[in-house]
Amino acid sequence: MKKNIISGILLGIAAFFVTFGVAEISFPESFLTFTDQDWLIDIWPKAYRYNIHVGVGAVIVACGFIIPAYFIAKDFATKALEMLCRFGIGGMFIFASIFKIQDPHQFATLVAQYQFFSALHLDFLNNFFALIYPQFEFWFGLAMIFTPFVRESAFAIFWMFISFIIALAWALANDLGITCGCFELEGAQDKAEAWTSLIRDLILIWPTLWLAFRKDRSIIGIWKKK
Amino acid sequence: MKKIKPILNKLLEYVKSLKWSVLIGLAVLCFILAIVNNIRVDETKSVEWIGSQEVMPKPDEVL
Repeated sequence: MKKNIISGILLGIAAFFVTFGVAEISFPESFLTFTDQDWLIDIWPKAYRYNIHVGVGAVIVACGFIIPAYFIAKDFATKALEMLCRFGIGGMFIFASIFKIQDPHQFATLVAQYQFFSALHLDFLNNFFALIYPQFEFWFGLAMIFTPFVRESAFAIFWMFISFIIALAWALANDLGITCGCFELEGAQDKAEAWTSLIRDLILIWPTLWLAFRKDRSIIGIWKKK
Repeated sequence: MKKIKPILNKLLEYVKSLKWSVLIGLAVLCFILAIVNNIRVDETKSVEWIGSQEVMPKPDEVL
């Protein structure tokens, strides 16, 4: 019991650092970002440029808490990690989809900026993709949290991550200078944001892959004894 | 090739072990809801199913 409590505390701290890191990487120059806080900018005017460093650093620090938590209470830590990953990744996908579902036209405009389908002579698919994809994000995110079908939803989300990685790598390789469009539907202006989004996706694809090989069970079912 | 074959077999086993009815069911639900959503939103926010949007000129100064 004592071991479980210690492991739980360590995982709680790790969850905080992962959330902090993902927010730092995903929402540069927003109120959610530590590196964009006014008091920090006053002391260090170039702090906002280091959001990705801080974000990746936070994820590494989180790993430093997860590893001992796992070795202190393996069974408890595995269950807690599964629950945290399901809430974190599922929640992130639900959150990311809402803006896109509310404004398909703007998301379609954003998808068109990638010029990915155009390169394949399939640009007529841009709107179709923009209409369908946010629904996938929303419902598979929801399924990951609220249904027992974790393998299936993680499998689908894994392939979504692969598609994001391909799209972002494509944008960077072709120097398109566009935003990711992952959480907001702003214009195409920030190349650095595509980099940060790519790094975030490359980090988050691993826990998703891990979830894709877990047993199908509800979040409550994780804690039930075999 | 000998090393790749067992990995491919395991991958195939994994893919077969997934509940495809759930995946396909959710995909169909997404498709239906995408249609509903495109009707539900304002005309300014809806798009044609087949087509694309304009590609904006690249900004002069990419940050």
